[in-house]
Amino acid sequence: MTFRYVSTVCPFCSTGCSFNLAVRNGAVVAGGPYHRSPVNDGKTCPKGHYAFEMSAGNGRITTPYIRKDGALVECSWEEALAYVTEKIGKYAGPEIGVVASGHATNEDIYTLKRLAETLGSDNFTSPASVGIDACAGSIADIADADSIVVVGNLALSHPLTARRVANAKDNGATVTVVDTYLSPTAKLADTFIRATPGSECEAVAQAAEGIKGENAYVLFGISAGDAEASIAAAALSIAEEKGAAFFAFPAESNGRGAMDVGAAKPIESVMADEKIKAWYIMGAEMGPLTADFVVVQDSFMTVTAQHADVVLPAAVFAETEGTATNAERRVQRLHQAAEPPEGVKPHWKIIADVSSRMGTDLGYENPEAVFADITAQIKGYDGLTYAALEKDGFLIPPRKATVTVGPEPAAVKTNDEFPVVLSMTPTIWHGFGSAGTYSMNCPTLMQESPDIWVGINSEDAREKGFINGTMVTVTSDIGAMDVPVKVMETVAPGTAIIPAMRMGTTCACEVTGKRKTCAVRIEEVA
Amino acid sequence: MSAKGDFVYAWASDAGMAERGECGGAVSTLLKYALVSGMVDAVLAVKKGVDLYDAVPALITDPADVDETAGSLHCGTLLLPKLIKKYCDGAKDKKIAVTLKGCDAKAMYELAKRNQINLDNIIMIGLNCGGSVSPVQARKMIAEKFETDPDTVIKEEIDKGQFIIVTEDHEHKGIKIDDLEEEGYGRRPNCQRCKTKIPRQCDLACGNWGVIGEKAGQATFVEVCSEKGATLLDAAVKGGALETCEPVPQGLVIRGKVENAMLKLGDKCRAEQFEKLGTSEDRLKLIMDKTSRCIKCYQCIENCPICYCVECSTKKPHLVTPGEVNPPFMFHLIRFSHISDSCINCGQCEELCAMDIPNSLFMHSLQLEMEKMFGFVPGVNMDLPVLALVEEPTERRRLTDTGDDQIFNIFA
Repeated sequence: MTFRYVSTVCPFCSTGCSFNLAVRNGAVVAGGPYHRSPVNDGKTCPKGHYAFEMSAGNGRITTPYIRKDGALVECSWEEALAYVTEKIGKYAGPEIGVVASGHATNEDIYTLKRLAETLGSDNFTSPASVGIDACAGSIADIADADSIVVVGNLALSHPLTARRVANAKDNGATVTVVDTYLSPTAKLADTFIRATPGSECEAVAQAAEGIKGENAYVLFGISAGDAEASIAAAALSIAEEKGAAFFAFPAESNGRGAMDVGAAKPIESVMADEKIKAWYIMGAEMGPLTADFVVVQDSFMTVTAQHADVVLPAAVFAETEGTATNAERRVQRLHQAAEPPEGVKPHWKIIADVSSRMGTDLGYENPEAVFADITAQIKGYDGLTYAALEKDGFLIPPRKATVTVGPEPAAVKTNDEFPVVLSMTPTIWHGFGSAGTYSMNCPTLMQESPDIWVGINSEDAREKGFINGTMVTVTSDIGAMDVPVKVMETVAPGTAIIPAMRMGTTCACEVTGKRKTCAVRIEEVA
Repeated sequence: MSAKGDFVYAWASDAGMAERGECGGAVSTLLKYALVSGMVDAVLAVKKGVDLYDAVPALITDPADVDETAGSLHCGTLLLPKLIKKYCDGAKDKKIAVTLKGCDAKAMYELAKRNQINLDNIIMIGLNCGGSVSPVQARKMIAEKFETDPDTVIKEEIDKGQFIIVTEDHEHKGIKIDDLEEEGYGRRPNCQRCKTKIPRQCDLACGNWGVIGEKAGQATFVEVCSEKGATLLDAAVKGGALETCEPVPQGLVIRGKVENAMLKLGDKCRAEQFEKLGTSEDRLKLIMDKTSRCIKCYQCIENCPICYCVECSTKKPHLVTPGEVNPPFMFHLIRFSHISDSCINCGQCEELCAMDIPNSLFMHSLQLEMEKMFGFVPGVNMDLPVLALVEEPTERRRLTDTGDDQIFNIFA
């Protein structure tokens, strides 16, 4: 009988909570509090607590696959790696797109960057690369604020950051929240500003009144949608104007680190690059990709993997040694709690194997060797060692916030055909993109929230004869999907909300596309 | 031969252990002896992690590893009995010696009553406890109130009403706990309310209070609280691992005074904290308001020593709609109705609450009201909780008929 706690960093949002994994007789059996954690004092949200369940997730893959005669079939590592190197070697660098999950470790992402270099590709990106980079000291210090403006639904997207907002409020701070509905975050507010589609930037400007006192913060939760950079720019603008500290929280646990170590090319431009004929995707759920050749390395059979030509099985966070950089730019250690299942390798190792077959030996024996390279090459990481990160990690000093120019949020025009304004919103049970794959593999999270749903106002529901659970078709100008109704007092009449996430083949993006908001009609499924 | 009710000063025969351990290393010696002699299969204790603020649970089967757990960590706020339930099969068929603070000891009894821990297989080494400080709070307090870099502290202790730190250059700094706590620093709020300072529910209750004279600082005051405790103590002495002597009579008096002072402080803290809750409808409104920010992280349930149900009522869809955040007040009502009679004020539900809801304060206040009404005191003995009578009449009959003292007999 053996039992030990092993501390690690949560793979979901960028708050970067640390917690323990309870390891009994070599297997991860539970999550446990890590009271000494510098970010979250041992507390976690439900995603953090039940994240351990993904180690034994139903969707895990433990063998490589190759597409033969149209179907993915199991194969040996030898065969898979030989196939990858033979095929991908035929493409010129600019024809290859390389995508790293923002939930992977710095070491995994950096090793992938090295592979992209080997392949001659500068199309190296991550879903976290949306042109927003802003942190302002430590998340814990937000508790001492005089006033806070929150843009977005942090209580659900970044719960342990929202805790600091609640702390500040208890200490007398005034809180202003801009959100699309009376969300759990909005309920913490003294002043709630309901953002209507197309007027998000104006709503943020209006929130400037809420910035008071010397120690003020503007907090922006990066969501899904093509106008995030514009809204972030509006938030940065009020912060600069009033002298408030500005924080933007990536959706991905290591979104900050992904951009730091080099996956910084804007995701939109890479995905839109028509020269790209082959994709190398590490741990990111990108939906079905159409290209000549797609390699996926992932812990789970994502939709991207289901459509790939080669799938390579990778370790989950609990089986991974490495570092991640959270929203406050604190570099923290993940300690490996268990061995991956037989046949499964850590991401960095898979990449190193591919690279060496392509003729470039990266010379990495372990993640610590990769980290040594990172500290030599990446600004802000210089001088760091695994040993030095053991206690509190390392908080890299704040830098000037950068927000790139992006499309303005579009106004949503309703009409008789599409009379309802639909907005995407985070849920606490699931992450966006790749993190949605994680939560789908945690049965406790699925038990709470097994589907994508649409939340509508109770009056609207009464008028249409919908009750909780009524199956409806949500239709927009680009597509339709069937989901159950959630009747909510907190959603304004004439509007609706939908979780910004993908669950296997079902994705809110079928209706919204790349937009955060759009006009829809909602009808009962016949 | 020792017997229940005896008091001794005890210290390790091994000079190394006496040096490594706190107050002569008696506790480490007892744990090690229990393991070496085969009285237990494993020891569950706490060891230092990344620094002295980091208490890490250690399940030990190699006697040499007991040394790692020597010394005390006042920032250790773990609840070990729940770990025995969760990860050691409730000591169903393994014998375990475990170190327990007052709240741990009470948790052990409540879990044992619910048949989640087999007390027959447990040796309980109680540790006197004046309260613990959450690690991150301790670091903040040392930086802000002691104006000292917490990384330079090599020792912390609570003595004579002061929180004392010793830095690398052997400088001592002390601040009165009263003063710290008035400003929101210091011990966890539940520790401030605690009145289990010497855990006599254990087999042995060990501490430094009352060790005076030539043994001051070099021996542990041990109170023998059960036959099992007496057996271990005698065996460790007979085996040459432990040395003991009679306590100085005045030491006994001093120990009593320290305990009484702590109990009075506990009463004072209770009065102050509960007063802020208001009464009757005001209290209900306050509880409803504070719990309304809950994000349903389930940490209160996962870490509660009273919660053990496989099918938790908070997960029954007809009571609490799954996935709804913030959850309805029913979520908290279920907790209050199921736990409050037996709450042992360990503080885990508050310390680990993602939204800093003072759950433990609420639950403890309800428990004390229930105690007034029904006379049931949780955590002190194997008496059955109030709710067992309400929920399990059949069980109750079975217990009467068979003379069994274990409810929900899942081991049978």
